[in-house]
Amino acid sequence: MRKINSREDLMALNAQYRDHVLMRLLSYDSLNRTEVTVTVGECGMTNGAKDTLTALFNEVNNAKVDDVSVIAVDCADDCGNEPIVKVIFPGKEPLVFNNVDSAKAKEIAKEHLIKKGGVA
Amino acid sequence: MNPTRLQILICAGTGCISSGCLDVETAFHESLAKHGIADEVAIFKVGCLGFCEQGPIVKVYPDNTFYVRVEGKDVEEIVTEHLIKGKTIERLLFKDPETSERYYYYKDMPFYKSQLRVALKLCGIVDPEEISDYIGVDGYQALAQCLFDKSPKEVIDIVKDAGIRGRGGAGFSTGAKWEFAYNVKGDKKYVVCNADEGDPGAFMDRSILEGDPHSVIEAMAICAYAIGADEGVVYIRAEYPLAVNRLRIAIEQAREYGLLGKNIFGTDFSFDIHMDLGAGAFVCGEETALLNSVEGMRGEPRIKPPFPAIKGLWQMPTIINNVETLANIPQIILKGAKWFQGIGAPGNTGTKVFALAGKINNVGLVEVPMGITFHDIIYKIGGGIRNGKKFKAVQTGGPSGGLIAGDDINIEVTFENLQAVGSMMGSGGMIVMDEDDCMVNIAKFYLDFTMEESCGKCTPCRIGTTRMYEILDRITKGQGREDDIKELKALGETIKETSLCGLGKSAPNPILSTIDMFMDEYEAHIRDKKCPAGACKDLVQYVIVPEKCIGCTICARVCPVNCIHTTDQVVGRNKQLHVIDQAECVKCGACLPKCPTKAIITE
Amino acid sequence: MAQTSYDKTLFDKLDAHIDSLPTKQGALIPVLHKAQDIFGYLPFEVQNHIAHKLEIPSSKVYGVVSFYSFFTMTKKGKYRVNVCMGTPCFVRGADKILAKFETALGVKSGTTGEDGEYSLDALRCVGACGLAPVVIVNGKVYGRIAEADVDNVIKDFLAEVEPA
Repeated sequence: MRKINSREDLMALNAQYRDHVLMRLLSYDSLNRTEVTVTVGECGMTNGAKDTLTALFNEVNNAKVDDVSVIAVDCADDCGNEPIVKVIFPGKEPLVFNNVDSAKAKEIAKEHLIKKGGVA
Repeated sequence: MNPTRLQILICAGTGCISSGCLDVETAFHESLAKHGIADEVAIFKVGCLGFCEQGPIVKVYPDNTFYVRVEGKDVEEIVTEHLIKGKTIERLLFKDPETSERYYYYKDMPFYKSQLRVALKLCGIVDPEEISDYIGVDGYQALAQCLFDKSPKEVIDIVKDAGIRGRGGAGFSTGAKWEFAYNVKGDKKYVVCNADEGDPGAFMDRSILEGDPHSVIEAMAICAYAIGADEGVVYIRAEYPLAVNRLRIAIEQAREYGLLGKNIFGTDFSFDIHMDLGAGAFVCGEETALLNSVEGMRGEPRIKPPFPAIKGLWQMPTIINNVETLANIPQIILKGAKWFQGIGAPGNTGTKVFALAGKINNVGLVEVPMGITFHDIIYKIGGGIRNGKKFKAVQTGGPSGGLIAGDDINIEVTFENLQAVGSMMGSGGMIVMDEDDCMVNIAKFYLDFTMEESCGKCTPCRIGTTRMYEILDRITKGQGREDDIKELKALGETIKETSLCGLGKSAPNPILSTIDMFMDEYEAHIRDKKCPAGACKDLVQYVIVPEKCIGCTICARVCPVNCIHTTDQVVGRNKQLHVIDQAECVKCGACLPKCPTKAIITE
Repeated sequence: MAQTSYDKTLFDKLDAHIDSLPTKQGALIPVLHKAQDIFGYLPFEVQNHIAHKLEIPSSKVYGVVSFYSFFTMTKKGKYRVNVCMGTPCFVRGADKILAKFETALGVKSGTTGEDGEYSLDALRCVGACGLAPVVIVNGKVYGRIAEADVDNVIKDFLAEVEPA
């Protein structure tokens, strides 16, 4: 618990706590968020979907990209290609990536989510 | 506190707690631990999401899935299927009662689609018991902006420009009120938050305090800075234990962080808040009665002027603002007066929260821009009338308000329009009535309330409401007299003109308004001794339609007073026709649902 | 059952609370809340005691106690059945439910039965309008109940709810 003694103290705490509520705020009133989906059905999970998911989430989170949500979704019935990652920019055709492992996930995050920013 | 990939939000407003959301929370903790993913999922209890009828409500983020009526036994499935496998549980999604369509996202649901959340913006987003959440969504930055960048006068000007009017009912300009207190010289001034939400059927203030108490605390501090006060009081109903508790926690946390107390943000501005519990008197919602109550006296209203802004609590300049009004203030400061002016209708800027209840499909808390029509609120957001019944009227303003019926539901919701049709904005109760509601009975219900809640100070209100109640009571019992309506009107007008406070001035409104709009129902009660809606028990007769009776004897067997007898007339397969002896019938209605051929009717 | 009116420890508890207050100005209503918490109700003895402690006339204390409906001068039953009579509950039939409780419990609304088991009261809006009609027994909320559910509610609270 920190006592706030100045405006700077408040802003520092704001930065510290922001991540924690961002997900709720973002889903709440932003139609402009970019959604990144990872298929976590059985085939996906056998092929390391969990690591893909974690890698994507960590990359996005560490880079403090505000308008990207990483969402786990049901199997796409395309077993050979799972885990499948889709990057859905608002109002645009989604980018689809097949057989994404954690290394590839990091690349996708860097290339399409962090560098270019989420909002087109 | 590391962000987790998944967040579960459990609505923990009074409605959802009553529906068992705390069991759901426990079940989540157990299930997550069982599947070893407790550290990947954060669980939050948040304030009212508004859709109380469908509680307990659970939201899953970041997917933004909205589950309704979740019970403890559903939790395991949500964890294994949704959280682990990414599959949405269809059966827990909201299903539109009319179209049977299921909705994945809350923003697609008709209930939320036409809403605009400003005062309720953070309700259902932040954890009300964690100040860190509020700070994380830019909380207390409006206060900081005021203290560092703006003079008190500039703060008042922003609030005035925004055009926000008191949400407690009367609709007085909040900025102008602040200016009065600002202009009074004095060392000691007070800011009072009126959370004595006594209007039956209104629960917006409770929900704000339960869901987002810090917005109210921050707003009070901003007001204190603007008018030069150093002490705040929240006067809150003792009947709201959850709101009291969350507000207490919020005040304590704000103090720990130095956001209340001495030298806030290291400036020379000091301000602290304490709570005073109401004790169950509706009249204390009236600002001067409230002040008397805070001073430890009977909550009887004072004579105005002097207005509280000049001489209020302990005779010092005092600003009394309603909870919902205050909840708008931090956002007005952060986003500016222009932004607020852009919402709602000219002269009626911003939004209004209504507690939508009664005979409507979607009961709950809704926030809409001013200027929306009642029709949209009832049919678009409220989903229309329950059980396919016919709409009769909508009541606003509680015991001080009136009814809106017929084409009037197409008027735009503004302070002035409501007054023009004989009702008022009030604090925001909106009760929808259908064809089964008797307007005379409803008028009697409201009068029973005001009669009991009249503080007794002014004779016309104390005795007048009792006389009016007696008249209405006899009308509903079939003993009405021809000149009763004239009498009711005369009494009503007198009470309105000669009472001191808002309670008395408005107590006759529900009666005058129903007489105005539903004269035929009053006449039916008085002249024909009939209640067209079938609600007034004494005027209802249960009769058996001879053509439908098959003589099965079921009705006679369930009748508790044995008043259903057989006759010589033969019906059905050589059975005897039954009749109800009206002199003995106690009108319990036990026979009605039992008749296999629906031969028993009320008239 | 111990006669609370002679129970010194309860008075001591109340005195300790009053003595801890920073000021007696405007303290009457909070003190009455506390006293009702401690004693369960506010008989004359307790009112007189408070008047004496706060150095105000007993008549003022009585005036305040009788003004506010939250304060009660009679002891409540072990099971406090409160039927919400807010408008949303009323239009969904709360009056019929109250009448049903009156017969089922044998207690008139606004009173406590002679055996001290049940109190029955009609309550102003509790704000749980989404669940109308609502009945609250010792803090446990029963929502969306119909006349036919009354017997089950009674069975349930006798089994599930702690008597006060």
